[in-house]
Amino acid sequence: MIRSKQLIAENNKKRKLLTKENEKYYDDMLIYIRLNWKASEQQSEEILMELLDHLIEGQHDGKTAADIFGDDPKGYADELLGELPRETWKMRLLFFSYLIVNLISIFVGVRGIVLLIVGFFRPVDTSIFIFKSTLVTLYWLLAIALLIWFILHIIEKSIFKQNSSNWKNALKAGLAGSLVTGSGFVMTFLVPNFGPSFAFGWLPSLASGVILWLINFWAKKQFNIL
Amino acid sequence: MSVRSQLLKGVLDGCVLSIIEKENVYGYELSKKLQDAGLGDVSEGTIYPVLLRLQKNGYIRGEMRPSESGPNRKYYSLTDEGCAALNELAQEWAHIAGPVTALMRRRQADDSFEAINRGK
Repeated sequence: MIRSKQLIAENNKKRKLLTKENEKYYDDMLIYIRLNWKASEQQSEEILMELLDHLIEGQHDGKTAADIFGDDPKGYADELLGELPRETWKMRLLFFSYLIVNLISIFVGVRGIVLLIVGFFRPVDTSIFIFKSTLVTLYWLLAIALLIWFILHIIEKSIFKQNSSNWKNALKAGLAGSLVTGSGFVMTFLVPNFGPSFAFGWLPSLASGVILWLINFWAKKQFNIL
Repeated sequence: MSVRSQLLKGVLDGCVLSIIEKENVYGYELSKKLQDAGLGDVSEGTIYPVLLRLQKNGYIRGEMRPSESGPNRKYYSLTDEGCAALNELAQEWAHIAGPVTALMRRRQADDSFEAINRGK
């Protein structure tokens, strides 16, 4: 079996063969199908490759994408999505765990570096308050998930449109991003330190971040996530 | 949607299965063969939802492999279940096609059912 990652690389290369008009039609369909996270990634990439091959061959015969796939690209893509098998729960779970662990490992690692640097200039308090840290971590994970969902939603709305306003969409995404980040910092300062705590210095922080990241990286390779 | 493509929708699965039964094909080849069979009006893209559905039902199996001309292609082959489904479809079609053809012909000729049955 040719893995989805290879198919994506091949797809990127082959798409350059399309005429401008056909590329617009195909790209919209590609984004729309890839954005649908419920559909099996492998199967999605296989059908996208078949459509692309068909379009390239049809192009040689002077046909346009609309001649081949019809005048309603969204309707056609929906029809395909309706028949595509669902991604397995195992793959979805692995995918989301990978993202979460990746975020946490980077955060913990960067925290270590920041503590080290700041430590050169002044004494730092390295204690972790279990309740507050859990709360703040949960906030960030949820906020980032919502932000990603929002941005994907904007993209999904903008495809299959002739003239969708790019700067308006960028502004919307930017505002949402600032809101999420702003509330995050406000929360960090407002929530008091209380309950049990432990010291977590720069070295253990950096080391555990790096180790966690490496384990996660290994798991990604092992289970072919992404 | 044209009358023709509406009519075809129900039987396209059978047409696709019958072509794959004869030989393993990839998408573009399949649409060419449907055209060669006289079904040129079928929008070429319609075969892909059909292929996905047939795969999901386990009637056909798709396998990506290099083609004779070089690039990777997804070749489809019929499964045992697909063969059984095609047999059933062919039988059902035979039950429908005869009477329908006869009814449509009656419009031009003798208009009694007896005449149709006599003609059998």
